[in-house]
Amino acid sequence: MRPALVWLAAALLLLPLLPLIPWAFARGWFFPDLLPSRWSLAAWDYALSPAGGLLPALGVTTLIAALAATVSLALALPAARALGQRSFPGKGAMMLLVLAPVLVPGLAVTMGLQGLMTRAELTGTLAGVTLVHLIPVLPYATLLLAALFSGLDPDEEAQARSLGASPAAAFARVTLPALSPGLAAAWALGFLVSWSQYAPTLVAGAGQVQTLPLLLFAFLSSGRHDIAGAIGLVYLVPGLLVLALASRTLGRGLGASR
Amino acid sequence: MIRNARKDTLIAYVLIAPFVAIYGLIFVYPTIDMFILSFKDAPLIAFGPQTAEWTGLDNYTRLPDDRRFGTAFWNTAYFVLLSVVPGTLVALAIALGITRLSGRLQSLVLALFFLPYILPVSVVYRIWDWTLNFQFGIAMHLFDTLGIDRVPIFKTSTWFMPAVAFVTIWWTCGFSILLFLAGLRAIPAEIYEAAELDNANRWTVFRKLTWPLLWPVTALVLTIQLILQLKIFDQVYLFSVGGRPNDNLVMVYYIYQRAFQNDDGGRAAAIAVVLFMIVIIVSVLNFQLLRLAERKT
Repeated sequence: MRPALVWLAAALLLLPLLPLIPWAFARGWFFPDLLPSRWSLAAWDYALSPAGGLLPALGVTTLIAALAATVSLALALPAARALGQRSFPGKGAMMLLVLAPVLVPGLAVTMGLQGLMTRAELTGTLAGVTLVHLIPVLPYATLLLAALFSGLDPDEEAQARSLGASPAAAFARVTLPALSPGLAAAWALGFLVSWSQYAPTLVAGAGQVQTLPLLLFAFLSSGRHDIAGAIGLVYLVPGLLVLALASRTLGRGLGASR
Repeated sequence: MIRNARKDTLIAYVLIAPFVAIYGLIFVYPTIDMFILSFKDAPLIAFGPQTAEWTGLDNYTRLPDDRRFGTAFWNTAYFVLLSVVPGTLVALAIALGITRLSGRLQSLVLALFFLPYILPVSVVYRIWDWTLNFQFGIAMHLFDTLGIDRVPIFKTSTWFMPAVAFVTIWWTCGFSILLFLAGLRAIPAEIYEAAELDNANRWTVFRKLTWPLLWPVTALVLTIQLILQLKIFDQVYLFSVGGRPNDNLVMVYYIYQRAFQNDDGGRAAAIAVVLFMIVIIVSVLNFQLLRLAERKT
């Protein structure tokens, strides 16, 4: 495909996204006007007011996503080391288990979880929602880190050991620095996956944990395009940040190869 | 360093233990619970598999005569047909185009294609519902210009699935593009230089070099797409609002209806188990077929 065609395709992809901006800054936008006749920040005023709920939702979503990403890294790191660097009986079954959430319909697991959450009295709590977010986040983190570990040379750590480093020191000073870009990527990916969850939050949160996707959906379904536009733009920020960083890294690699 | 195999295995198990514990609690246990539920006549609210009555295979034997299940099954198959192969080909074409751009442009365009992927489905729905609106949607102006009659796209059964498939490809192709780009990066540049010396034209290079060398990635993208699209729900659910939900049913939508609208946990669980089986059978079959195809190329 010629570069011009790529640009055309890119434009087709972007055009449908553009309405978000006028939605967020317009004061009434009616057919058949191409652009809103008056601009205003009224939607932002409302979204940021206590009634709009943008700020608390932003805080809750960030907290849950950061927690889910951190906890899954803590769980995935040792598991990924075993999967990536060691062979042990049952490794194949373990890999299948890691991949299982991709195969099982999420809604079905959510149904089962509802009973569990009720019995553990976790329904409607931050902890409950974070726990449920681990289901989609963990496979990503584990697979990514396992791939990184399998690319590492285990002899380097062994050399540090033979020079007298304790196992913990060898891990902290040799392995961890080699992994750190991958760890950052896994954390960011986990953050984004948790950030965008809708149905699991709804079920585990029981309407008491209001995250951005829930708030966004509420305004969208009540037809408030202006406020939804504003919240939608805020929602995109972390994704865009990660995207900018990732595409720089990947773009550099691509440029080098061709 | 001398290693003790038994000690090594033990260490591996200790390392994966925390992961397995949490996973068992939040994923394996609820999945098993759901499986057990599928043999019972149990409501979902006040979920009580302990109290509900065992009904054996009843929830399963009722499925073949269930008209809504039939609709859901065939709609899902139709949607997979419309989205998996077309989506993969679109992503491949775009990825090939992106590699031809120069460094900085490349990352910018890549970011553009990835942008829809980070949108929540509710925004994707609203944007397309608005763009394709029967009365004032921008797409309808395009229809007028091209001389096509306006249609209320999400209200007719002919247009519904193709339109949802189109929106889904638009929304998710960024991820496939990323996988294809990673695959293209792994092809050594010398091979292309050699082809250039042999005066191979662009189509020949693609057919004889890029396509076969990229095949493992293509197979991966196809498999991922297949599994994802079999579990299609959100888009169909949202676009059906105010339309004809019962004509547009897909498998996961039917699970949702049974579970959360009819409060029929047992029957919902049975459909979920059937879908899970289908996903496993189809992905194993797909994998084997793709391996066969690889041997031929």
